[in-house]
Amino acid sequence: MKLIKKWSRRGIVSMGFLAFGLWLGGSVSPPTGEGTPSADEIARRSHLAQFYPGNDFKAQVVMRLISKDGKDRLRELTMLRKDVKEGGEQKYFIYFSQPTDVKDMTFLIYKYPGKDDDRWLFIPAVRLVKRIAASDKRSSFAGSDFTYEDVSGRDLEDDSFRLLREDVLDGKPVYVLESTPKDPKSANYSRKVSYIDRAILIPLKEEYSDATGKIFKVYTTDVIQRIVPKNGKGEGYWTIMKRTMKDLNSGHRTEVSFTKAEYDVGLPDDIFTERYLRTPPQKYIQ
Amino acid sequence: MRKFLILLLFNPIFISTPSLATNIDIFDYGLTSTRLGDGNAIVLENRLRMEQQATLTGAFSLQYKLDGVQDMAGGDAFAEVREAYLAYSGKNWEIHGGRKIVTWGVADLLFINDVFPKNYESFFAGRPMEYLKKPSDGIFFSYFGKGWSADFFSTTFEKDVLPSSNRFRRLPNPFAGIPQREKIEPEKQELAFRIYGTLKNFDVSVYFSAGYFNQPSFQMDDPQNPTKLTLLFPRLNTYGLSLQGPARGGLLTIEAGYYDSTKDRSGNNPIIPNSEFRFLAGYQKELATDFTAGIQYYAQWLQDYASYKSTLPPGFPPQDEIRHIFTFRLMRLLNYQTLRLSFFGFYSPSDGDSFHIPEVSYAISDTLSITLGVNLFHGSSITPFGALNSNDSIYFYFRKSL
Repeated sequence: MKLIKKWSRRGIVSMGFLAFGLWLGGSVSPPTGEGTPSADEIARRSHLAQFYPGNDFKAQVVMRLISKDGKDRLRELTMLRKDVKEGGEQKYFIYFSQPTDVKDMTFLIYKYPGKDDDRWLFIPAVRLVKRIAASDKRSSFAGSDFTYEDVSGRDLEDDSFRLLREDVLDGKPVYVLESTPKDPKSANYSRKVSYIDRAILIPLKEEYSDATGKIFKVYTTDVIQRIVPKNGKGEGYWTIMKRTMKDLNSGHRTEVSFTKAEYDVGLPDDIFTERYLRTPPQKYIQ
Repeated sequence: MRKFLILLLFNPIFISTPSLATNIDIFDYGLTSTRLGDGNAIVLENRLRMEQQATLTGAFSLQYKLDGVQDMAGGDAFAEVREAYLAYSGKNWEIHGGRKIVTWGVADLLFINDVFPKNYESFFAGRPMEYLKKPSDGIFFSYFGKGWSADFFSTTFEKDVLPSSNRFRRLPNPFAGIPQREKIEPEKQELAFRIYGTLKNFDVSVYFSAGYFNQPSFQMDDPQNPTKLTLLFPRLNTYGLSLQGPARGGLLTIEAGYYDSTKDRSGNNPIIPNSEFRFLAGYQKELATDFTAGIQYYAQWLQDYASYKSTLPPGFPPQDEIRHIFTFRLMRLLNYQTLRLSFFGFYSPSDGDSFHIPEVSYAISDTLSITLGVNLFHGSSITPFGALNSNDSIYFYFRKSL
């Protein structure tokens, strides 16, 4: 009803369209962008909001790996991302600066939707560029509770989506979306329930269940901030500045904080090549 | 060159000027390797490592890695410059001058086109893997193109370090009775060249090198009644290529090379090694999350085998025309990747020898990690791995950041 009122205010032309719509389908089918999108559409938009904002992205990241008894380990890294195609191929450059046993270790990842990533690792001690067999995206990223897939996004085609309900979480309207892996072997969970902020399409919480239906891993978005791109254009992108993944079985958790995040830095293509894998680009990793 | 580097390193400008982006890391390596047979120490040393990277101006940077070594097994203390070089970065090229560790090729612990010097003694004794690579001194030029890139290195000759009787026991020594020794090391520069790029999803490289064999040939003044043994490093050119890329959810590796022994192309000179084809095919795959397995097949095909056999001095065991080696690697990461179980095995059906290295490594904290492993050699003493069969060892090292 609210919708009809809003449209009616636009005058005769809109009313005409609405009447045409009513006549065709017998119900109001809102134009794209209004009303409740389909589960697949929510998944697609949320995927873009999380993994594809801006043409490129640069972040200083601190990962805290915290065991059940409170012992923690720290990883400090710089992440550079460049999109080759919006929603499609991407390149990632990940440089570790702390602790000393992984210092100068660098990952280069070419992510392709629908097929295995290309992954390279630079091992500074022997100055070796090593290609990594990357079929398993469920491997832990740098010993954390996050997987490679959590870092760069899981292919949308690998899951079936169902919109369970619309709800409110911590005062924010959310879509409650269920993802089920089409191939059970392709993920280490049987079901994931995401609470996606309706306004900005960022998941605020995700619960991973095993085959018995028991929730074993919980993701939470702890801090969100709108970051205006470096060129000052646009309103900016909502960015998860702090997030936590907790393993309920082991009690281990990982907190990832961005201490600095920038969009549309103008990362040159050659950053994502063997040259900079061997010699990290000082300009972009500081 | 060395003097220049030392001047650079200890020039206080590089350490104290506040405008420089610099960071220094210091850590301590404690290493032991104990022979299983007699309980003697093969390695017992402490290495205090200092590393620094300093950006001097936008395009110039300096990097060094220095080990202060206290060798308790050999009763010696010395400084080892692992790396020290000055780098200049252009728009699409870089030049590095000084001492550097260089690695290329795609094979795992077997080397075809990586002709750079190695320290096999370190490897067989159980020092950390980084000490298998010996640094090279020279000029290192790299060009980075849109599709294809190239490296061109000019380095001074550096021979491999092979297991010696100082640390290892019962090594075969057919020249034990010869009183005089002479070593002739090449004085000319060695050149190494590589072009690399990507075809489809495959990393492709083409290699060329002009230099010398890194391991010596032996010349006796009089084969019947020798009084003097001369160690020579004959000329060697290598030509090769490598491919690496995804296949059936894993990673396929191919590397091949031709070792052109230019001073003995006919194979008739018994002192100079014959030319060889070397070939490797490997496949690795993540079988389960954080569990990777790899297998490699390697062949070394000696050319002009008939000439080789007919000119081999009497009493010397002939090597096979084709030497086959299989390697196996298994690696399992556990407990949030803090615990690493690994196994690497060399097995040669043609030589009938093997070398196995099971290892476990644990990161206790961000600043302390420990590694424990065993080196197990098997085979007759005239084969490459079998020659070390009295030197099985258990090794342990820790690495502590200071």
